Amino acid sequence: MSSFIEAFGHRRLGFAFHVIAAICGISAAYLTWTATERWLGIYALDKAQVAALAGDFRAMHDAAKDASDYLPDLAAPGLLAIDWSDPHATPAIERLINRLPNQQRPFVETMQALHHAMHQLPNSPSLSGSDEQLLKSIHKTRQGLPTAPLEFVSSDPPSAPIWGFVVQQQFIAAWTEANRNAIRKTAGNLRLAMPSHPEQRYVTFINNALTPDIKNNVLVEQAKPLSSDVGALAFTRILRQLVTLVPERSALFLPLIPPDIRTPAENAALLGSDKTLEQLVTSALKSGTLLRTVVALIERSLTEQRYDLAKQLAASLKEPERATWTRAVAQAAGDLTTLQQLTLDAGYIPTAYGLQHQGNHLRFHLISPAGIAPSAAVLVRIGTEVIADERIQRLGSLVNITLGEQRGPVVITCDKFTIYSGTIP
Amino acid sequence: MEFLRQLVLYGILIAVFWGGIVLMKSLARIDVPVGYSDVRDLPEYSSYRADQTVRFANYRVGDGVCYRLGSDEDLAINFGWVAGLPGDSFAISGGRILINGKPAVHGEPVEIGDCGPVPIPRDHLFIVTDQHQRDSLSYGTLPASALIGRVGELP
Repeated sequence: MSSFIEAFGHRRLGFAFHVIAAICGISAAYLTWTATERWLGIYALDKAQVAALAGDFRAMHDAAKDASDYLPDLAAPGLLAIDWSDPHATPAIERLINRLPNQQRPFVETMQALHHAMHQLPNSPSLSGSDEQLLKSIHKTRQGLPTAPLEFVSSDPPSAPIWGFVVQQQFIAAWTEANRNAIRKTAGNLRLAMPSHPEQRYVTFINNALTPDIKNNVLVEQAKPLSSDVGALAFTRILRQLVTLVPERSALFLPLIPPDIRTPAENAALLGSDKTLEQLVTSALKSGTLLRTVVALIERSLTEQRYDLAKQLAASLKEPERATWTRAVAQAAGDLTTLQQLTLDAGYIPTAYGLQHQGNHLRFHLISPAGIAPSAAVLVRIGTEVIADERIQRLGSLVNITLGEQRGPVVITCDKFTIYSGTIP
Repeated sequence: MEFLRQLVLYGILIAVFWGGIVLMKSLARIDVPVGYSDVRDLPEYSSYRADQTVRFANYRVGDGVCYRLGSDEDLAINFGWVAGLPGDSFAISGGRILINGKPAVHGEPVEIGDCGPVPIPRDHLFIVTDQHQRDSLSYGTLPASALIGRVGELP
């Protein structure tokens, strides 16, 4: 140091050191500033990537915009910040490409080509290898032309976004054409490529429905949540197409269509129009048919007033459906005994109202407090003699008994209930 | 001479500092989330060394890996095995996962109809777990940004 002082003098050396210190200070401040910006950028990019993994695209977009401001020379935040569903995003994409260093540009150019293909924009940039093959496939599918089977070499895998778009497009084309083999293949590809997509459950169901090895009970389990969620109507459309695509499984799909929107043809197909109701019920009771089929048969039995069949079917169900349908059948059939047993409710006990004795006739309304006219036979006993059935007329709830010559204590019963007990003068 | 000595000293300090950062990253341990069951026999309350310095190109089939699927607590840390690399193909046949036509070493059979083969895209890995609740069959092939690090000691 002393030799420096001797050579340059204290003043000059001090000045030089001040200059060096100032440069070091400015450099340190600059480094600190850029390091902080980079750290903030990486932090925001990390947040954006995690949001993308979780499918929270709004959060991803916001975080990616912040990251892109901090890291303008990186492709990743810029790619996440752009709304690729917007056909007018082209200027933003070009701005991103222009500000990136050369080695970062291919990622964005690939997405730019996909953006052009998605929105059918002119002057699509060209790609090479697998991605170029996929882009050609997109254009051919759009034009309704047959596409060659896609083959990839392991050293040149496709880009995930383009591959994802192609499998979606191929599935849509196959579904529109109602081509069974193509649907099965493309649904399988879509299932594997995008398993976390919100509509993946439908695609899995379609793929499984078209796979002979998948058992019916597996399909039924998979269908349960689909037929009850918000997409139930879309699922019905899927089922209708599957009925035509896989006729051998139509007996499985038809009951899954909600009864209120089933067409007459579907109802007829579901219930087997060539068989009698007895045959259908017997076969359903033997084979342990699906709940929805049994319910449809109960509804048909009630419509045809075959309460005996409806009762058997309801008894074959498991709880809680059994109690629900047993009560419904009993209500339709006026089976107050069953209703009373089910609920222990006085509202189901048959009661005689407005009893009138006029000449040779005894008349009253037979109805429960809940408003149901019992279907069970009315038994009239005067003294020790039982009145013949033909002398008991019923019209809805009105009962008219022709007494004849008998007089004395009278007991009128309906099923196990005594509805009147008294003396006829 | 004094100047050189100080230069070497500062160089050593920077190297130690830098080495510390790298070493800390490679020695970082990740706790197994309580109740985690996607990898059979993975003990709760244990932690695994996750080498976060592994470059994406250096992952190999069979590597145990730690990865994230989202920011929620139950998705932030997951464990599984690399079953396929970019450019490999994967498929489901008879309920088995096939990678390049050969059955994957890990993972139980699935109730999914036959499908594929499909390619594993660029910069993505096919990760498999025993129960398939949080692997590539449920979340798709995972991008490099989802990987936390390599874990070599999974049961």
